[in-house]
Amino acid sequence: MRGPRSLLARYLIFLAAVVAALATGAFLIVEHVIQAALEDLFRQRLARVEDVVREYGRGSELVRARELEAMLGSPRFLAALETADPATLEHEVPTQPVLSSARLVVVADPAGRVLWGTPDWERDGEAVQGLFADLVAGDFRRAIVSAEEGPVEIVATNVTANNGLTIGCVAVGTVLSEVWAEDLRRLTGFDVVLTLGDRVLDVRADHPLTLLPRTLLSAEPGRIERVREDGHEVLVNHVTDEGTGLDILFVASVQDAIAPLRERVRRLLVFLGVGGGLLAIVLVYAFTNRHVGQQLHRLIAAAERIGRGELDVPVLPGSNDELGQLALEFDRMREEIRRQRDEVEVAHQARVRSERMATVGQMAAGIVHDFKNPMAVVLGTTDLIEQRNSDDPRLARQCRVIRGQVERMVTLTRDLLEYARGEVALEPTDVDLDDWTREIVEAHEESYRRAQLTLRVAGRAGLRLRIDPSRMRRVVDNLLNNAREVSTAGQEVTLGWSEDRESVSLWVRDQGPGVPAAIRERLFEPFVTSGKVGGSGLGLAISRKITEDHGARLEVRDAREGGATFVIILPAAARLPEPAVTGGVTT
Amino acid sequence: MLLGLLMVLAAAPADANPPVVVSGVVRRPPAVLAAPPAPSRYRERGRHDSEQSTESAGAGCACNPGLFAVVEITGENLPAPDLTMRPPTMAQKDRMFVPSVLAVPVGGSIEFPNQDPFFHNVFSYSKTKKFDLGRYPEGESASVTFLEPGIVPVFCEIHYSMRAYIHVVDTPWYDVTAEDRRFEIAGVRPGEYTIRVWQEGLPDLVRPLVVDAGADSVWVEIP
Repeated sequence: MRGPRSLLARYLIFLAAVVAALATGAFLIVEHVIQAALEDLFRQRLARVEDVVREYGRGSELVRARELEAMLGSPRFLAALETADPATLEHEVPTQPVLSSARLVVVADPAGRVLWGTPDWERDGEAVQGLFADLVAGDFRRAIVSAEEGPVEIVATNVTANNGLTIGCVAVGTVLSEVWAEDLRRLTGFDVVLTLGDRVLDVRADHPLTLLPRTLLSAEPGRIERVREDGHEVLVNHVTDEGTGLDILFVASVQDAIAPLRERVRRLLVFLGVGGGLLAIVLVYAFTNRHVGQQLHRLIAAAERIGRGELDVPVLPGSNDELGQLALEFDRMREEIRRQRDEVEVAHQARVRSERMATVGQMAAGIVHDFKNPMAVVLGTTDLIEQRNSDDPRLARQCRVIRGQVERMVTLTRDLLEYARGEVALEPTDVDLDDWTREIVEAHEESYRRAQLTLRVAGRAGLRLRIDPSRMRRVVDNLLNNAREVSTAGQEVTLGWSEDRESVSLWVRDQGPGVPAAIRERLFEPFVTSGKVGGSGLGLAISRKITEDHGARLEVRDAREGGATFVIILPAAARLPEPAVTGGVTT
Repeated sequence: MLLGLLMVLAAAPADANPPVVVSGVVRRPPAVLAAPPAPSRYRERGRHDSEQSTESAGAGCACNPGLFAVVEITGENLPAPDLTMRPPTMAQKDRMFVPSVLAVPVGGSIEFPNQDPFFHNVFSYSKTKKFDLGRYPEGESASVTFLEPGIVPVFCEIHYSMRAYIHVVDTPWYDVTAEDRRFEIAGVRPGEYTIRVWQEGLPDLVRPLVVDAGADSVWVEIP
């Protein structure tokens, strides 16, 4: 089973893919750019090698002459030459640094007669003799001789002792290809292949040439060409030196040159990729955590709370983006759930109550019904006894007691019946609160006076409600009776009303002991009393039922200065528009 | 070439053959030589200009061997040279050999003291005497004994311009001309000899010389 994958992990995988793709793309682009730039550079530099060759060819003779001259400045060589002794020359000449590496050295007397020469000097003897002929003091002569090893440059001069006496002639021959190849490679930095016709004389390369010299030779002289062989590709500039007849191939391998660069770019990109990836991870983590993670966790926590049934903690939006919107919607959802739960709760309690009442009611109804007739008989009989003994005050008083108790029983049974009857159709009419309450207060005045209590009315005049006045009056009567019964002499009970935008409240406030918290919840259930003697325990239950039938609520609250306040909260819809009393048009 | 040989006869003692002083002057000018080559004298072809070396300073200097001539008197039955005398010196001073021409009899030696504050390395590749004294600093000296007659060109391996000649003579009677080009050879016994003059870059001059008995001195002019 796959566990949940964190958002961050997905981000990172995505990022890694992006970084890899970018790095690959960058590498290809960079490599391409480098290749193009390098090729450009090589072409420019290759184009300049012709100048290098020309200058080098011009300087070559000078260099040979200078080397020879350096040798002629050697006192030992001069001393040996002065002896004109072949044995001494044989001994001395090879010790000269220049001559030791020369292909050819010939020493002659001032008249050009050869005194000594390196072995095989006679191969080029004709050329040497030509150079020696009529050699003027201080003159240098040069000839290029074609030999097996390639062109040989022979430089000859006469030798003058330091007293000015001409003491001999010297000719030195150097195989050009050896010197040229190395020098030109050093001067230009390119690999050099020296050829003469189809013959390869010398190859100087920093690394083995990947292309055969034969392939390289296919490059036309005079321009830079791209030469390919077996997938290898190089740029070749084929230069011909006119002085020596040498063909010089300058070879530049862009591929070889790019290899270390490629490695460096690759390393750089790996570094950047890893570094950038880590940086991106950190940034994404920080961003996600800050802008998404925290909010998601809050939402998750809220969802868990809601799941546990804790619906009262609001879910606040943490930002004004989609997640904030989600939080808002979430909160709306929570509100809706709470509202529905509360409705269900209320409905459930109502059902429980009505079920219980139905049971009790059915039972009571039967009993009460059976009570009614006997009590009617008792009342009738009592009336009869009273009428017949109207002169006996004692009996009359006893009859009154009997009648009072029976009336209580009648009331009790009536209450019971009414409660048990269940839903009753309301008969709402328009009621002016002033008139309505005045009637109620008048009815209670007597009993309040006897109990030495003050009954006050408080409320704005002119408020009109649409209620069932007789039924609602039973509620108010009940509340006023209760208030009177819990109050002690000298206390005050207030019947009042108030309104706000959403509701209209009718309330009865006493200064009695208040309702103990223990029974406050159950106060409105049937058969619950707060210690009132002679109560049926149905008054408040009936009252609540009536208020609920009105779509209103009945609640008990602690009054501010002690005592209890019972409030009937009617929906604002129960309020009627007030007739215009000042100005305006009365219709 | 006009040759003149003057024999001045002086009164000679009759009893014995007292030695005669042979003196004279070598009038033949030094060889006309090209200017000594500068250390770096290469010029590109076609650029022979007037930039000739100024190092011909040696022309009138004691360091220029061309200015001196070696005069020797040779003949039959010559007495042995006196080899007990102190050997002459050829010093290296101011990058020069001083003197630049020296004569020594066969069997004689020459000292080569270094009087410069740097090294010299005196050597010769001559057939007459091949030697190489190696390098040595100021104050040190080395000696060479010459057993064969002939010309020994002497060089310094370090200093290109240093050059000198040692003439190894097979006679007790010899001299090197002074700056006034005069020479003087004492102790010559009367007799018939050959006088030979050597100068750098020039063929030897050989003349018969008759030293009369009883003459005090003989004056020789070599034109």
